[in-house]
Amino acid sequence: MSAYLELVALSKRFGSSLVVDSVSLQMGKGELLTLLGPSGCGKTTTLRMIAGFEMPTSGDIYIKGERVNDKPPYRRNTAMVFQSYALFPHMTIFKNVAFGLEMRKESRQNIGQRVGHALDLVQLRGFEDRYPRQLSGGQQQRVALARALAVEPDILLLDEPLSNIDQKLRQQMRLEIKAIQRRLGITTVYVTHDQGEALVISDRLAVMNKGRIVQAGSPSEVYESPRSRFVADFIGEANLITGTVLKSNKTRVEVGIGDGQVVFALPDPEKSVREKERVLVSIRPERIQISKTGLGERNSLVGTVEEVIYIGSNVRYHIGLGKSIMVVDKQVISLDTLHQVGDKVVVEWSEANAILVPAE
Amino acid sequence: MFPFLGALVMLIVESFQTYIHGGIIQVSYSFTLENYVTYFGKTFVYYGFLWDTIRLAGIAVVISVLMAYPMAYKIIRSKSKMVKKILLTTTIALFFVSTTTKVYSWVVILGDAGVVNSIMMFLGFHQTRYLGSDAAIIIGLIYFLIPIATLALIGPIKNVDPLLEQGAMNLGATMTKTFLRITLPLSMPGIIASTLLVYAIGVSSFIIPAFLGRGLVFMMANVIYKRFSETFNYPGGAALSVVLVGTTLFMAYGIGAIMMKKMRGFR
Repeated sequence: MSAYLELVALSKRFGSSLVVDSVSLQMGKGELLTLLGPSGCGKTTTLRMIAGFEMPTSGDIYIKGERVNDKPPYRRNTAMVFQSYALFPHMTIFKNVAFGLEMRKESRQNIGQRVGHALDLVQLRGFEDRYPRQLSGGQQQRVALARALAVEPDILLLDEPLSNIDQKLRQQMRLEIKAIQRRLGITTVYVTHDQGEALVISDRLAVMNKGRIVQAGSPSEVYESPRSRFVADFIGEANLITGTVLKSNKTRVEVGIGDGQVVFALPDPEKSVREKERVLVSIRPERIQISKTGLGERNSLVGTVEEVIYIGSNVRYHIGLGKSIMVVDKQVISLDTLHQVGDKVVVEWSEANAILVPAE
Repeated sequence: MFPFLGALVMLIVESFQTYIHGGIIQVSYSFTLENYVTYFGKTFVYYGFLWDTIRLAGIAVVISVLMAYPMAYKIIRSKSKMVKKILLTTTIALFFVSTTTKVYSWVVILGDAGVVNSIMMFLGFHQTRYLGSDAAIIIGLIYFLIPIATLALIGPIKNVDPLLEQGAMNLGATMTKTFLRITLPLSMPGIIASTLLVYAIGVSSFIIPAFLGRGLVFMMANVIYKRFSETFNYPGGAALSVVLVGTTLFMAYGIGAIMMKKMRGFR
């Protein structure tokens, strides 16, 4: 089965900086792929190249098997939703959503039907005669989405569509977008710097840094098995302990972390480590147990509570372990079970939760 | 602001004074409408001058704006920084050339022994008098007004969010359609404003009709000049000035009001 969207060694250079560095990926029909990364990592530029707003410096873009490098944006069947919505201020909501269909010379009747359908999808029926400036940010974004969906594009492109929307609405809208995408089965590329968002909506995600894709996979794959310090740090949070490999076999790796202390981690099935190699052991804050006396795990360290940060549903501890700090996240069951600053505690985790990451 | 208003007020006051032949300094103030009556009541000659002025300036302005728009568009939207710089620098540089120089260059080109005539005669045509015609003045005005129009149009075009144009193209609009449906309507208020500005400048031009009109074509500024300098008819000149300013303001206001009505939608 050939890919619906394929990027082959796509690169873009602006002047002297290489903004997109040999990006390759394949997408199947109906998939939602997220390009995730910090500002300036090249994700938006990649998206714009797919849409046709930027010409690649090298590399190829194939949509449904056809090479589209030389096709201008208005000949590609892609539709983009912009971060700033980009609604036409001098047109009504109806005209905005109908615009793509008018360009495709659809009949009046057809246009009316499809616009109505698109507005239904985003729950904005009845707003046809209003102007963009009369709508709230969230509503405008939904109109932008309806406008893109109305043309039934081969590929839907979303460029940080929820960045300008407040937190609570954002969480609701990302689920709405996902639901619509699923329902229509529309192949979608989503760009965001919000890793929480990426984890929630993606079928697959590609983490980008400095123009390259550093890791791609399903959300759980990328979260559970980060393959670099960058990914471990960028997605979720990670405690990274520096150490040296003492012993390694197929089931477990023993890492010395100084002062005679030893922790254990799962080996990476893709890459074996040698003795004396410097590595990082990555453990997620929420996968750590914290108690006064310890629960018998093989990976355990003793430390002192240096800070207690209460976030309502969760509490975050900063545990001092000699020279480093370990961050531990726990749910708050009740206030009196919280540890206090100055308490001596034992932090423990199972080795299934400890991932080896190359030290850079 | 106030010096201008003050001068304008004095001008208006002057237009109601009686014309004393040969007298320059006002001894006593009077009030009479005879200046207006003489020029616009009894004879219709001056309507001719006014109409010529409006007509010539109008044609020149429309052509200038039409030619300036693509220039301004390129300056803003061109993908090459070099192109932008060259166009913008050229436009601004043209400003620093004095009007007299620009006009004289056209005298050289269009004159009886000028460039055009030399080529025409070489090709076997008769020597033609180009100066002193409406066309010569219009050409001179256009040459003078295009840099102004270009710079004036930069603002409105810049205000059109390029993402809107990209959004339109993304939805299937070709470059032409994008321009007609998105860029043009959104920059229209600015275009109108720039056109009026350029018109106001054009309608008051003096040097261009003076040199290129060769005494055969007059615009209002020239007529006013004659009143002031040749016959010292200050009240008369003032009256003509007031009429010129008045008609221009009236047109600007009228067009502005029409535009406001048409744009109740979104601005």
